Amino acid sequence: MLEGVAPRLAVATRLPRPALTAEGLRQLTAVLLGAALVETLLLRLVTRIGVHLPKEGVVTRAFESASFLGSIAFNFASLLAIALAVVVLASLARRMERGPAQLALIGLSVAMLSGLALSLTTDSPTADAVFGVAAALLVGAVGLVFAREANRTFGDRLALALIVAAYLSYQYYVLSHLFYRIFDYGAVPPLSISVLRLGEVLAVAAAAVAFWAWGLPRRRRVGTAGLAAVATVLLVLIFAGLSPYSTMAILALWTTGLSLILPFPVYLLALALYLLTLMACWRSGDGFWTAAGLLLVLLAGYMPEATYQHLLLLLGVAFLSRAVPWTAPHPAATA
Amino acid sequence: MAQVYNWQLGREMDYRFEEAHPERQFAAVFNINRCIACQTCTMSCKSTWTFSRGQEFMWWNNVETKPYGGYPHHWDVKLLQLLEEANPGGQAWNSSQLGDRQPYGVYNGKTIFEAAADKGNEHALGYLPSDEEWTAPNIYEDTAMGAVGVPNESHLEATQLPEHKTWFFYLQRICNHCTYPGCIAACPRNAIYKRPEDGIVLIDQQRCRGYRKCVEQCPYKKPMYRPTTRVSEKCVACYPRVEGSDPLTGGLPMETRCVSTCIGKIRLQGLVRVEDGEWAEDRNNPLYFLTRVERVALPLYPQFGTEPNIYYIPPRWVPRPYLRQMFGPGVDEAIDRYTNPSRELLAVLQLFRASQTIIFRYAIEEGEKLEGTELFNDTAIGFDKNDNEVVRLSVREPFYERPQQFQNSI
Amino acid sequence: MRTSRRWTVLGITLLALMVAVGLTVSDMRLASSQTVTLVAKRSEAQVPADDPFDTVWSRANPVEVPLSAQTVVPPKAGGDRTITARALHDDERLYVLMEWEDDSEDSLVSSQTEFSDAAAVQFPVTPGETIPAFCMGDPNAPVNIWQWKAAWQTDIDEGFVDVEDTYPNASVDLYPFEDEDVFYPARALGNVFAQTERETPIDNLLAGSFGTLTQTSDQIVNGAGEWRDGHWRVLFAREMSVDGDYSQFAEGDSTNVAFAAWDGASDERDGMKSVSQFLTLEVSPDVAEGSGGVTVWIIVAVVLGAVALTLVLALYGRQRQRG
Ligand code: SF4
Ligand code: SF4
Ligand code: SF4
Repeated sequence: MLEGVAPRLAVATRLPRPALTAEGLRQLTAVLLGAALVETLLLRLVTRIGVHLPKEGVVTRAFESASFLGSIAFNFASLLAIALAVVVLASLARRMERGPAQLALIGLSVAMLSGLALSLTTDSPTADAVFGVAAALLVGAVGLVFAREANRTFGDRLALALIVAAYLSYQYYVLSHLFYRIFDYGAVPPLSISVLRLGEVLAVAAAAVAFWAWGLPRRRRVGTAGLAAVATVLLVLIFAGLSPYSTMAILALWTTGLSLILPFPVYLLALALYLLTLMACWRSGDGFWTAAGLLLVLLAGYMPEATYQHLLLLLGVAFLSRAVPWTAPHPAATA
Repeated sequence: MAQVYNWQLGREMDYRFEEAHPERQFAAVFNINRCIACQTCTMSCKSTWTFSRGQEFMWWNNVETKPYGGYPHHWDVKLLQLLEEANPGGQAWNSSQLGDRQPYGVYNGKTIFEAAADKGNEHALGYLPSDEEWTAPNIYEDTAMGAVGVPNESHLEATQLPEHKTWFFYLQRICNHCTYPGCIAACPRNAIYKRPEDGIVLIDQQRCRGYRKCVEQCPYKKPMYRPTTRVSEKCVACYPRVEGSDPLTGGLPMETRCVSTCIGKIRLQGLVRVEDGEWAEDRNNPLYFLTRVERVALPLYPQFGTEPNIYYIPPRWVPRPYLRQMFGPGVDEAIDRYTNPSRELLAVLQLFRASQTIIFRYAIEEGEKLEGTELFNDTAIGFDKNDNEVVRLSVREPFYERPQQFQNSI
Repeated sequence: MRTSRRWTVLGITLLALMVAVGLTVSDMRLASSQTVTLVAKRSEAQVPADDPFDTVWSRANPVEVPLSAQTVVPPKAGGDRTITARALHDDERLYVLMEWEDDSEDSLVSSQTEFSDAAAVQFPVTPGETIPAFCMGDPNAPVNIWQWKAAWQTDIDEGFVDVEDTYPNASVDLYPFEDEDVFYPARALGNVFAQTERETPIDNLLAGSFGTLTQTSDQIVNGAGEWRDGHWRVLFAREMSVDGDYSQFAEGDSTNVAFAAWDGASDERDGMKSVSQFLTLEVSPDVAEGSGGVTVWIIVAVVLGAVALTLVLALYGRQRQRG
């Protein structure tokens, strides 16, 4: 798939060439998706539903093993996410011409990664700020670069723009507070909550647009199995939402950061469309990276709590934008 | 939600907790036909339990005049309306098949638990009465039903059984110490409990945080919020008397205050044995006999679904549709049997208010036919927990003639 | 060639897995929290525990926190609200201030249908490296809850509010045994709700999960709440380190904090409330100045600069190798 691209890249720049091939990266991405799913189910979901569990022998042990396995998956996924982020940023930089833009991208990448390293090792708010701002700008940059590509449809652009805008809204909320704090400003940042809530609406809208842009054209690929899977997830959610001990809010607020400000059916509908899109892309040959991107964005959630989730989102947006050379559709395939 | 069996409804129903039963169940039979609304019961409860600050409005026992009266105002009409709104036109019974486990047939409508489950947010349907609704506890006392649909009009012509056109009756109410209490289902603190030894339902005064979910979700509106302690209180079934731990009882289970003071002799209270989740067959327990064998005593609003344990002998003169709504489809049979009592029933009815000691078993000694009647002068004998005789009464009350010399003395 | 590629992927995967297990066994998470942080700086001025409107609070860094309806356990209630949180410390005590809009001041519980406004902060008893477990704690990690009640505040400010305060003619002429606690059973049993002499409007609670809320006998949290012009401000104050299984705080430490608010006018009580996610709470050694009036322009400049940079990147980023 990459045969046409790789040799050119090799001569195009003096930056070191990734040791992995496109196929290898695809496999690694699949492993990351698996680990992130396991982590979400075992750590972010089960431990929180665990609040309702009776605190007795077997249950507690099962719960503890789930949370231990989830922690391994979490660390594993986090490691892979860091590695993949480095590879993705490097290949983005490699495909650019030398000049201020490439320098800016490299600068932002270095800033984000050093912010990450500092944030992991220290409590410094500045480290968090560097990481947060760099991550926001990188996500924004990838989205913008993509939006300017000629061969993208309006739907492609809108879907991605909404995802990016939702993330930036959340980052505005977090970072504005962080900067006010660093600069010791005794006030509340303007509009922070309004922007946060607006972001949630954008995130929900993004699901619908994603369906229109990516799911609808591939709708025949969903298949019975895909439909059944989506229906099962939705039924579980509806049941959970209606049952007296609703895990719905745990799922929504704590796993994805959605605070359910809109009527609940809107979220169900959005999720249904999103999952259908994911299925359709997953099951069509040319949709792997879109599917991977959609899943990563979903697992990152609307309010990413940890650096790891921000990386998932960055990877997701990069894959969705198809700006990463080894995720780009083969010229023959797009033609 | 768990599934529990409610014999009064003849079916399983939704309930917040798994089925669990006490060894014995506190129960009582109130004979509405005999009540004179003297409110002695009401005052005896008040002077025993609710005479302190913050309890001014509390009447754990109250006697209200139906159909207009109610404490809190219109509590039952409001509940019925909530049920009706939740399940329009659906509150119907199918009484074609009767049996031991379904003596009144099968209720096909919704209970307060099922109606709430449909909405998915509360454990039982209910509402929180306002301060105003708790005032004037005896509102509409002795106010008779007028002509339906015509304001300020009543039927003035003479009236006679089986159905009076101008009617009212007194409804005596205490907490029903329900088998599936709405109050327990409602409490988020698990501060209400049903005692395993006698099924009495109590609010733990230490755990309660005054959330008033029980006040909201008891369909009979018997828990009440006390502003001076900021927690809820309710009828305690005079548990020290029922236990026999009150010094007065001499260690023998004794009827509650509101029962033992009843002037009209309308009340009989005791404990029924429970085995495998059902009332154990206990033919000679007067409560068992009246409710399960003769079926003259019926639960109040069984359709609410809490399986209340105060049973009423319905008033004979009230229009049947009203009574069926209030006591379920067993009304016609109960009134027939009460109007033409069997020999045994007539004897057992003598035991009401014959003694303060709880009667666990009765025996009948047959007597002669009373001249000029179809009745027999049988004797009912009541036995206490230890099977000692405590009371003996004949159908014909003994006749004493006052000697001449005491003619004018008191 | 193909085999060696496969080995590269497998090798990376295995290596990462080993490192992941190693990290997990040594109780580490390869991620750091990026949630909003509430920072409690050190106040050199005295922080009065009974005045939530004291000017010292202009020196704290406020954080706006969205609350959403509690929809996990029925009955579900609450709604979208926003609270503003501030925190300070003075080496001895930690102070947390909550502020939110509420049109009605519901601070009486004397009638059958009155419910009190209330507010709560919640901390894990043992701060961990884990992503915070939300709500009422997880099975192994209990939470410490401080709940302020408007009704208790009224008791403190105006003396115990009795029925007669609401209905002057409700009382009768004679209450037998009026002084005997046994006729006020909740009071006789030590239920704090029934206390007539209150020292604090704040209830100190522990919880392991839903329905396990436990009143503690240590009423060690002080504070005050006041309603002004459609706003509640509630101040919680406690010694940073105390005896007992409660959350402990120390300068330089981080833990988590979550908020909840109840609106009495909407009949909210118990689980019927609005809740937030957990934020990070940091007890900082820095002195609270709250001065940065000029620096906000620096922030604006930085943000504008960064946006400009991104635009440049985007515009030039178009020229790439592959046509
Ligand atoms: S004491 Fe008896 S007769 Fe009098 S009102 Fe009460 S139940 Fe009726
Ligand atoms: S009558 Fe009401 S208070 Fe009494 S047990 Fe039944 S539900 Fe509870
Ligand atoms: S049983 Fe006792 S507490 Fe209950 S209403 Fe009767 S007298 Fe009052």
